[in-house]
Amino acid sequence: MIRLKNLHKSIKRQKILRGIDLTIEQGEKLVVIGRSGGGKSVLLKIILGLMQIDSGEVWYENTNVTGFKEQELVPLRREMGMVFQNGALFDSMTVGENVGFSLTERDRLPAEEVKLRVTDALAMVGLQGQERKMPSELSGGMRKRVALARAAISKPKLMLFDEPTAGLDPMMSDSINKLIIRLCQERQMTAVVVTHDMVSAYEIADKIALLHEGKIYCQMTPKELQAQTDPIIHDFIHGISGEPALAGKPA
Amino acid sequence: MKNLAAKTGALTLSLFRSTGELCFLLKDILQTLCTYPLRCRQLLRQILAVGIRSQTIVLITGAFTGAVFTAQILFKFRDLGMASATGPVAAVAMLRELGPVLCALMIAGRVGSAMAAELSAMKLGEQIDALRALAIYPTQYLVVPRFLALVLSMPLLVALSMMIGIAAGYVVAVPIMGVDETYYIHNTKQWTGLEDVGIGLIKAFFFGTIIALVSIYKGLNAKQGAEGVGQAATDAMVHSSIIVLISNFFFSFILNALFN
Repeated sequence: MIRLKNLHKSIKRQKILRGIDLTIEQGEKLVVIGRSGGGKSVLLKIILGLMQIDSGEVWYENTNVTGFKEQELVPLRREMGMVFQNGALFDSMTVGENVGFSLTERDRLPAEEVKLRVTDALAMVGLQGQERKMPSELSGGMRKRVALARAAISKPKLMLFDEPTAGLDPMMSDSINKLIIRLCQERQMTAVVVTHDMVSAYEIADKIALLHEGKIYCQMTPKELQAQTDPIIHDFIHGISGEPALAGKPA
Repeated sequence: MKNLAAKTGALTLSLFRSTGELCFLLKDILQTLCTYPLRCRQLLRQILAVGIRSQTIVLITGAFTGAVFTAQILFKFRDLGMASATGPVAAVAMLRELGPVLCALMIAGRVGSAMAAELSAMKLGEQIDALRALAIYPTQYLVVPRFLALVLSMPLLVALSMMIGIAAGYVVAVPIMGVDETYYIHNTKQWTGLEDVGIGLIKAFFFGTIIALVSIYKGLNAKQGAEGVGQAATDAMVHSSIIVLISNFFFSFILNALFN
């Protein structure tokens, strides 16, 4: 469904991506793991066309979309949805208006239909009856659920999740993970999830890709990854930084 | 010396870059206007925020500028025995200069800074990226309605400012300072023409365009953090005010040559 070929991207002269090659199959749940600041969110933004690349190719369903202009990307984005790390909810709109935004403003559906679909979408994420609340009144977990409902309401083929469980308690994280899995199963949706949370990664992923020093270091199933003895993979998945715990003492 | 030259060079480059980017922004707005349908609900919402809610400050600014300008002119003209000439002087000043310029400065402060702050907060909160992710073109949804609202509202606000300024001048001159009403009105009518109104309204249109472009540009190019939002708002007001004041000098000469 998505093919990334030899992607390079620099931001303010710092090389973030140094030749990414990645294929995401239709219906697959791919989790991208990697260190903070390693370019995982940049990768998602490149897939969605929110960021331009320096070199390489981005293919979406047999179309080379590299260098597409904003106007050309609009129809492609109708088939995609993205849940941003902080939710990126429109803070001057209510929860209901946020969730129904694409239906009202993009698809121009009648108000009654939008209302019904917003109710359904909020029920799906366990936030029934919260339509009139403002984003500022919501907790972090609720904001992410609303963002998920907003992205999923138009039933996209591909969903991109940027740190969907960051900053949430383990139970809330588990509930978001289950929601992602359920959405993918019910709608035969492809998902790309960026996270550091290995519990979530193992729970959600069909395949896990490790982004290391601007490249995809490996792409394999959770089981294969857990069995790896490669020091880079091992240290990352077990959270071993190699830093001494106390000054002067070895790690 | 080297340092000074480097700083001047950097400033010049940044000036050229900003001018170029403003031109690209204008091109994008005009292209979007021609290719995408207008978001009427957004436009009305912006006209309400930009035009209708600015009426009070524009009325106050216009009224007191007209009143105080008339009073100052009258203090001098009365001694010269030219009290009834105050009317046309105040009217021409309000129509050609004070109305458009002071109204533009007030709008740059009230609307321009708010517009830049709102857009920069949206940008930093990834809300503009969220719009793009939802397959909505931000220029169509956010930029064009704000631009049009300011460009369309500005001449109307300036007209309001001109009218109230001239009326306030009349109140100061005739009932308060005792200038003969017949001469005052006759002279004002005789020495004030439609070309004065035209010059003021044309200036208003261009000032609206300048404030809208600069404020949108500053908002969309804000730097990270709360400081970035504050800086964008301040820059929008200061830069658009400076451009209005400088361009007004050139507009005055060009329009005067065109209309006279």
